[in-house]
Amino acid sequence: MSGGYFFDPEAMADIFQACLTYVPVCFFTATASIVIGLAFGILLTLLRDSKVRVLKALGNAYVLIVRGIPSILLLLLVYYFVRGGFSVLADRLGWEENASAVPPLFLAILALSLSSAAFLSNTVKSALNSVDKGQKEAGLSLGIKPGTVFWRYILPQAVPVALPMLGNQYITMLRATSLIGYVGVMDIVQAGRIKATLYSNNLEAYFAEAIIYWGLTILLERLFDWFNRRNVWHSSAA
Amino acid sequence: MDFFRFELCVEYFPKIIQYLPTTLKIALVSAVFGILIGLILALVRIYHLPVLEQIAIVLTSFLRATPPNVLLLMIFFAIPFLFQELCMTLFHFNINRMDLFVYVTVAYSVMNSAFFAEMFRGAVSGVDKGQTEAAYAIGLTRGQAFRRIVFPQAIRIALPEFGNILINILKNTSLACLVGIVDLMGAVNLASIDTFHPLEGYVDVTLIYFMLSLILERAFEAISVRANRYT
Repeated sequence: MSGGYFFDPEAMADIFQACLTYVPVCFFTATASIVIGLAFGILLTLLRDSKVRVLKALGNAYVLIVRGIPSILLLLLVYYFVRGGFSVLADRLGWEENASAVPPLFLAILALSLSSAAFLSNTVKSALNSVDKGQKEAGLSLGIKPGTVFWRYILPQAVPVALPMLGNQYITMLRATSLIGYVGVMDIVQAGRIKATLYSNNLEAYFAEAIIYWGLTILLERLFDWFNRRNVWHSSAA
Repeated sequence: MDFFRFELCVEYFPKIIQYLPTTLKIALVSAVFGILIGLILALVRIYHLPVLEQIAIVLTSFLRATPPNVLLLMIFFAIPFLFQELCMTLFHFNINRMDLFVYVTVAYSVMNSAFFAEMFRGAVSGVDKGQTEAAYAIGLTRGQAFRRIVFPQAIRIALPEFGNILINILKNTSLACLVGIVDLMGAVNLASIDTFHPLEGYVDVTLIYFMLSLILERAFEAISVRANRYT
C-alpha cells in the first residue's frame, strides 16, 4: 500500500481520458436498471398493497431484505446464483457453454434492477399516498370505474411528486454502477485500475474516477433541479 | 455438479459470525469519528465562517457524490501520499506500517462525516429561528445558544435520518473487503476456501446483514416515537 510520492499529472490526464470512454457503459447500465427496476417496483407495490396476505408479506419481505443488505452483496449473490444455475442448466440440457457464457452486463443490470426495485417501490408508494384520498373517493362516488379513476386522476397527480424522488434514485444508481466491475463488466473503475497498474500509481487513478463521478453527479443534480422546477411551475398553472 | 448445498450454509455460519465484531467495530468507530468531523463541517456551514464555509461545501459535495468504494480506495492511497513525509520527519513513524484497521477506520470516518454534516445542517435548520433569537435576546452567547437551546431540539429532528445513516454505514463497511480487511464479507472467502462454494457463505452474510438492519431500523423507530411523545 504505497502511495506515490510524486503526483503525476500527466498520468492522471491519461487515466482521465481512459475512464471517460467508459462513461456510456455506466449510463447505459444505470438507465436500464432504473427502467427495469421501476417496472419491477410497480409490480412490488401492487403486491404490497394487495388484499392477499401472502402476497403482501412476500412483497414487504423482499423490500425489507433488499434494503437491508449492501449492494455488493446483492451483486455477488446474483453473480454466483445465475452463473451456477446456468451451468447446472447447461449440464442437464447438454449444452457446451459453461457459466462464463452469462454476459456480465446482464448480471450487472439484473442485480441493480433487483436492488433499485425495492427502493423504487417505496418511492411509488409514497407518491401514490401523497395524492389526497378524497380524490379516489370522489372519483368512485361519481361512478367512474376504479381503473379509470387511477389512470386519469390519481396517476397524473402522483407523477410530479414521484419525479424528484426518481431523479435522486437515478443519481444513487449512478454511484451504485461503480461496483459492476466486480461482476466482470469493464467500467470506469476497472479502466482506471488497469491504467493504474500500467503506471503503478493508484492514487491518481482513483482520484480521477472520483472526479468523474463527482462531475456526473453535479451535472445530473443540476439537470434534475432545472427539470423539476419547470415541471412544478407547469402543474401549478393548470 | 451440485449448485446449492444447504449444509454448507450451516457449516460456514460459525466461521463467518466470528468476524461480526470486526464489522461492528469498523462501523461504530467510524460512525463516532464521522459524527465529530461532521459536526465541525456542519457548524462551519451553519455559522457561515468566511473561507472555511466554501471548503466545507466543496468537501461535503465531493464526499457525498463519489461512490463509497472509489472513495475508500482513494483515501486509502491518499493518506500515505499526504502524510508520509510529515510523519517521518515529525514522529519518525512510517505511515505505511500503520495497522490496516486504522487506515480503514480513518477512510470511513471521512466518508461518513459528509452524511452527518448534511444531517446536522438539515436538523438545525429545522429548529425554529425564533429559538436562536430568543436565546440571543436573553444574553446567551453563540456557543451557549447552540449547545443549550438549538442542538437538543435538533437531535429530535435528526433521529430518523440518523438511523438511516447508521444503516448505510453498516452496509458500506462491506466494502472494506476490497482493501483486505477480513470482515463479514472477507470471512466468506476464508470459509469457502476449500469448497469453492462461496454462494452459501454469501447467503449466510445476507441473513446477518438483514438481521442487523432490521434491529437498527426497529430500534430507531422506537427511539423516534419515544422522543416525539410530547409533541
